[in-house]
Amino acid sequence: MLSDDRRDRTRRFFGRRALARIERAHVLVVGVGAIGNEVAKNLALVGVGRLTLVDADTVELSNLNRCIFFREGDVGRRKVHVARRALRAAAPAIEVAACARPIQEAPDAVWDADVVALCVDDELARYYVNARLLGDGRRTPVVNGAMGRTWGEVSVLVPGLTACLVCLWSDDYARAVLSEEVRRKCDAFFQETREKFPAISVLTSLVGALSSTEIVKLLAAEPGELPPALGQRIRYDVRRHDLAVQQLVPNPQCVDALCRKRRAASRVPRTQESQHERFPQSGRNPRGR
Amino acid sequence: MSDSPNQAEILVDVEPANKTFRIRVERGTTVADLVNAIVERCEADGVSVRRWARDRVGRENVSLVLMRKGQSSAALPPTVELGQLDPVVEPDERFTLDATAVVG
Repeated sequence: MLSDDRRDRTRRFFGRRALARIERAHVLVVGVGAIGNEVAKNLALVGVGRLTLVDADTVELSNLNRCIFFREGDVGRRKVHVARRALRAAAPAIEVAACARPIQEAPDAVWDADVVALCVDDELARYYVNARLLGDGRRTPVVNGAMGRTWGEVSVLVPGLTACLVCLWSDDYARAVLSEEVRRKCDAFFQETREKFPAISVLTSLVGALSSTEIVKLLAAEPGELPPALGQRIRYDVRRHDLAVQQLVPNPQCVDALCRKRRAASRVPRTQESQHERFPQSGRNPRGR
Repeated sequence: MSDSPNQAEILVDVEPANKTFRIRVERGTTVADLVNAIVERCEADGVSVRRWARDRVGRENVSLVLMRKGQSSAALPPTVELGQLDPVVEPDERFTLDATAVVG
């Protein structure tokens, strides 16, 4: 009976054709911490066909206040393996690949994705993902989620076409990101003393929900249909329930040389612009798949 | 720049100072110039914007960002000159200073 199958309500929401597009999709989830748990859960329940999870970390007891897939018995196990098991239980049809390495060391195959869900708390990983997406020239959209103490923010970007993930970085900030990483790699003491940020599940759920909403919009879009949030950042502060949807203005002097080059080559205005007009009209998403 | 071809006064909300600064900017003023000026002015008043931002984002290294409010809501990169913004900066247009979230 149609009304009794697992995807009945989802099919009613999206329609058959959009759901079929979602079911064929592959999403790379970089970072399987609090936000990554939420994003993977939502994508699996919506019916995304294939997820690749990348994260080198193991489960810690302090993760359990905000990570839906982790239990006490999982402490010490790789996050990607624990999440893969839970995702398969929640959505048996899903195909999940797990890579227990930093994204910088992941095999090339992980990048064959329709969308990248960026759920990391490491700016160097953002820098790397950005460089990788700029370099491969496939215009893969990336949805970047992060949280501050009282707010969550999600940006929907196609690096090189819209602003990139590091267009808002100053030179000083970029230098500090790179030098901090060198320091952490060279001295285990700094890894141990890295700040622990206050975090509760309501905020990570919020960011995860916003991120997965934007990912699903990208996946479900009709050929040539343009996602309204492209090139924008959605920012929601729970203190006074302030919602802002902001254009991320591309930086003509971005700290990433490839971003600068791409922008110069595309001869786009230096400030706000309609990103939508620059999308190929033939594809079902910005990559034209 | 609507005040004059080369200058405009804008309003910048700075939460850690609990103030709105009225600032005269020139066409060639970059976002980074403006942010640095606000940070230094707050420091002179005994308010550390960077400490406030660190508490907001949970990292020692913080990326401060100037945001345009209202209809033209936008997050502005540091090297952009205010005179190049489109739409043009209106007199008394509101901006706000905040930090970019990092933690996932």
